[in-house]
Amino acid sequence: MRRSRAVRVVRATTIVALLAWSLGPILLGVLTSISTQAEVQSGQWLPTSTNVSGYRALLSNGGATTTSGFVPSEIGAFGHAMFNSVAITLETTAVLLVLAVTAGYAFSRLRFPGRRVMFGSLVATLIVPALAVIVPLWRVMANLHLIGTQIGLLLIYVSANAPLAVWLMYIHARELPISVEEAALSDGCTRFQTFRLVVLPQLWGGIAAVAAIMALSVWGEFFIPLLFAPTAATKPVTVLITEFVGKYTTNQPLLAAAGILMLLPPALLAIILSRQIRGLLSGWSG
Amino acid sequence: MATGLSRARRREAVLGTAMGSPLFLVIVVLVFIPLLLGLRLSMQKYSYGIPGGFIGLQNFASVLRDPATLTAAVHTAGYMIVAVLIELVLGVCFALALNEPFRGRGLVMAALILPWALPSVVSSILWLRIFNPDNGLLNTVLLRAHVLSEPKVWFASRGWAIAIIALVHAWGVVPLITLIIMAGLQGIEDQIYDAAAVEGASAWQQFRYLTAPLLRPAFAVALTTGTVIAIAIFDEIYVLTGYQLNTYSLMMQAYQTTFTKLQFGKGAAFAYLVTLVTGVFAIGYILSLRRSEQ
Amino acid sequence: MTRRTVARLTSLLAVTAMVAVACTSGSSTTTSGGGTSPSIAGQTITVLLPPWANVPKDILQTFTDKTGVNVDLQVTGWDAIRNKVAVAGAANTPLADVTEFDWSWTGQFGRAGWYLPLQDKLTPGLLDGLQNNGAFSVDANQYAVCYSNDFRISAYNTKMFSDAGIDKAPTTFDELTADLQKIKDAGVAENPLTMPLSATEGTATLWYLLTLAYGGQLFDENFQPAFTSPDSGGYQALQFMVDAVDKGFVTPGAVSLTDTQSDNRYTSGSAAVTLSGGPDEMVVADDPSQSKIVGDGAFMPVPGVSGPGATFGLPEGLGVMSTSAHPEASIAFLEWWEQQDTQLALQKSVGLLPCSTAAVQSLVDAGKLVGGDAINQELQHVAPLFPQGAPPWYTDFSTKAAALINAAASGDMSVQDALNQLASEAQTMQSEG
Repeated sequence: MRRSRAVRVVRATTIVALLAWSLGPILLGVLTSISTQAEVQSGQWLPTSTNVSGYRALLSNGGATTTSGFVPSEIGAFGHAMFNSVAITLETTAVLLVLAVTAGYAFSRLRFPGRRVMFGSLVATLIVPALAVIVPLWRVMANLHLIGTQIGLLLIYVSANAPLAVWLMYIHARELPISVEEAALSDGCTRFQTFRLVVLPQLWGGIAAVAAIMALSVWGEFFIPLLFAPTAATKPVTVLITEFVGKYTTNQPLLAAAGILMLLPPALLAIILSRQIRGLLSGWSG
Repeated sequence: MATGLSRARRREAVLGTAMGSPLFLVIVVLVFIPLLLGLRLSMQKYSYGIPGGFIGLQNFASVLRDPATLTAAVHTAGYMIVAVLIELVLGVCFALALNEPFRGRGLVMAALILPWALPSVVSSILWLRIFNPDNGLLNTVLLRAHVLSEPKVWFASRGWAIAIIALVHAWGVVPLITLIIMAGLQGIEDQIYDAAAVEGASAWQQFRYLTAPLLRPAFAVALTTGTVIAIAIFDEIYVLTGYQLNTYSLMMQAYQTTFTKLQFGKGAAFAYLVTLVTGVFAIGYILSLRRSEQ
Repeated sequence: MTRRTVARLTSLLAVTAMVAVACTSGSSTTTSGGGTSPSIAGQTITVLLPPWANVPKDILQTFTDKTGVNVDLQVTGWDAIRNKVAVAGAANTPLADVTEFDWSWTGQFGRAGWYLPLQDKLTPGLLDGLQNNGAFSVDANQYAVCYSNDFRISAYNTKMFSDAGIDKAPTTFDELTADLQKIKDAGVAENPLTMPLSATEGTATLWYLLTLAYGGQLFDENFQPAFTSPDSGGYQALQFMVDAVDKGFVTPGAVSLTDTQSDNRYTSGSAAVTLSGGPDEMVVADDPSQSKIVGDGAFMPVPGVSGPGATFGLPEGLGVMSTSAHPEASIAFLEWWEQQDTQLALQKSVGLLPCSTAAVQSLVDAGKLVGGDAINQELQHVAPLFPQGAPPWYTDFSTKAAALINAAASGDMSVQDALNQLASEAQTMQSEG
């Protein structure tokens, strides 16, 4: 499809604006991560030389001992927390997608008793803040012996992110042309076969977008793991990183370095998923 | 024939229940049951952690009667309006710009999502480096350009503080809103555009009469999500201005009630009231968008 | 997603589930009550501490070697510990055996019944050798033993002082004011003092410190506010803080500085004096990677009205939770921690200032404490903010205090209005509690 020159200029400008908006502060973060603490404190924003001690402290096995502030005595505490974060994000996203895609499709296309009530009440929980349920939720989780476990964390994440995922998948499934499904059904496919063979391939772009949203939102979870993942075995990096804030001083280059390292997995994910979003739709050329 | 149809119906009902209920069950156990238990909690008196008796709706009444609640609500409304506006304008622009493949789109997508992935404890350091009154980037630049004659303490005035905090909040949320709009754009068939382009519609006309109406459902999701997150604003305020009198939000008050005063009942009541307000907004959006659809 | 990844995820889930089972099964053994018995060997206690108390494994091992009790040490943020204790307490579910117990939690967590009273369980005489015991006791119950002897001490920049022609550190507020003016006039520093004045905890801490230093108290013995009259310590303290802004002793930007950010102005050489430094201030000041004033920093006593004033102790303790299934093992852990060699080892490895008077003295004698003499001297001036134990509404009060001080320093409120409002808030809090 040919677009007018004006449209292309507008698009290019928007993308430049996007990059400036997103990357400006991130760039400052990179600069902070390679500055010294003294440079950061005195407001010098371009470091005189490259100081990678923050990265070294996070990535080396023994951690780094600074005179005050963060002393990671656990070997590779940061790496361990990164692993925890990646694992719980992948697990939760996988579980959420399976549940949300099937539920989203069922709510939008299949007739069964209670579907309106189920869909409505499920999506309505989007507006419930964590604080509204935190004390009773703790009690429920304690009764189920799920506090401090990965499966407990996964279940809470699923419940917290499900409304958005289901809502998006519902909208997406509803907008699919119903004629294709009807054709498949009249060709003798069962409902489930139709879903698997006809609907699912068409949903792929939307699934990729929802996967990106879910993965990112789980990656950034802080309040829930702060309370429900108290041990090093499940502690994600979002929680660990707040422990780098020292009692008397905060090693800002170290914190910035941790923040920059935390960006790498999501960035990788975005690059991978962006190929799925829109990219798989056929019959379209630019 | 009739039995065949009803059997198909029954099969459909079984399949639908099988596909829809697992997630619903998780929500029942982890959200609805705690919400119900919390309702009982919200009618209980707690003073600094020590449980007292059942006091009916007194907790709700005392939250509503507290003048600090009104102040917090005004601040929160300020954050919400500024933040949601920024998020929707940028979200729609970015999503439209990213919707068609181009060389390097993956990298731009990666750049787009970074702000969301940066934890607030780190981003607060960066914002403070920018807004620090003494040696922050912004004051340095403005002083050098002679826009300011003396350093400005940005967070000292209510207006600036709320605008800046809302901007910082929006910076982190724009990626989410953009992705939601993009997810909505996935459902719009390209053939429609092709047909429209053939018929000579301009880009703006295509957006106004084709994309925008079809985007409405995704727009409702984006608006609701943005509002829900903005009403719950907390972190950005806490790290930038602490408990400053002219910036505190509803959620900070609710959090304080629960975790500082250990008034779990009143805290739960507070959280329910915030949920209620959020719900009013969400229903309002959905209804008004549905009306404009007809 | 490929099948292999799914399989890997499933096995990962299974493994974590097993770990979880293994972790919880340890806490099911019940102990028989009564006197100390050898039965604690083989038990595992969970200990929840903030990052600055991250005890190295080899030191913990000496406890395990001695008692046979294993320690599962979990480190998490100070705020996070507070929140978790609160939620677990409200839900009446176990959280950990031993946790951080800050002096400011005494009234709240002690009265709520979430911690065991220790006075009858500890070896008699153990408390005698420790400082700050009063900070952890309320209604004659001792809820924690001190492990970190934190307190506030002032510090100045010797070079900036001598550049302005001043040859000794000030000991009174009048001297301090005169010195600051001299340094400012001499052009050595535009804003020679640094203070946190944002609406954060460190700001309230500074005000409490100065209140004590002015010879005042926040409350009388019945918890009636004692800071609203202009000749009270609290009033003078806030007036000093507001004047410091007005006279340009501190930067106007101080109203958005937290305590650590404020201290950065001292270690980066922008300010000549910080009033509310911590006991490891000189360790930071002499570290070239964090400081631009290496060799120039020195402690000075917190000033007072006529000679050095009182200062403010913020000790942290170890408490045993009421829901603990291993109270004996937990008590044994507390006793092990308070042994002198443990305290010295911890001071050396993580820099915790010991609470035992004898341990501090031996560190000073051996020259192993940076600024040791000044620290030891200042310790004589340490006063508790609440001689009768922090009240349950302390944290709430502190938040309000910080916000109102910030408003007064920003010029949004007068000193009198801010303090009147704080007093009325305090009275409301007491009636609620």
